[in-house]
Amino acid sequence: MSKEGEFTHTLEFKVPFLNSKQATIACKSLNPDPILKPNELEVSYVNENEVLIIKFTGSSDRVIRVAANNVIENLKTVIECFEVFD
Amino acid sequence: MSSLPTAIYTSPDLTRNFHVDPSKSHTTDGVTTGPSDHVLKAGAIDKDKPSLIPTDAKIGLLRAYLTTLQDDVNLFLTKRMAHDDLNSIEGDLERRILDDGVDEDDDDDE
Repeated sequence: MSKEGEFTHTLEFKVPFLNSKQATIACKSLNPDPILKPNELEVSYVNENEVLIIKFTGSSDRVIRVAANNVIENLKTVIECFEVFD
Repeated sequence: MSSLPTAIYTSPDLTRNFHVDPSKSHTTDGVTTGPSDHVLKAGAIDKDKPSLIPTDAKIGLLRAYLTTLQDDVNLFLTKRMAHDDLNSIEGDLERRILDDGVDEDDDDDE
């Protein structure tokens, strides 16, 4: 079975920023973070104008929850930086 | 920021949309994040606690909305995981009864 066939669970966040620059910075900040279990999970980051789209595709609710919670925590740190420095 | 953060979950048996209600109050201090009550009662200090949002900052409001969304998704997925675990236990018991002939009321002393 292909990996795509095994990954039956998806969770997609759409996060609107104040402008496209912030969405791009957030996307570039999160993207380098390596995936711990690539055989169980895939994460993609795309920014469409001022909206950051984060998509988790995984083999179970458990891997999606762990990964999504971690990424959102990191994203909130990025946003907190915007609050302080932007 | 013209719109609010959203999330959509899909699995073979379910699709669920998550939205944030801007008319409700939101905080950056989530209920599903940070140290557990057990750890805090043991005297731990949460050094990573998120800062309070400035009242007039839209970007701060986004962080609060995102925290609410994160809590909603976490609670939903935790519930799904617990349900799956329960089904797994029940399924295992059913398999043992059907395949192995184990009777859950069997008493070894009889």
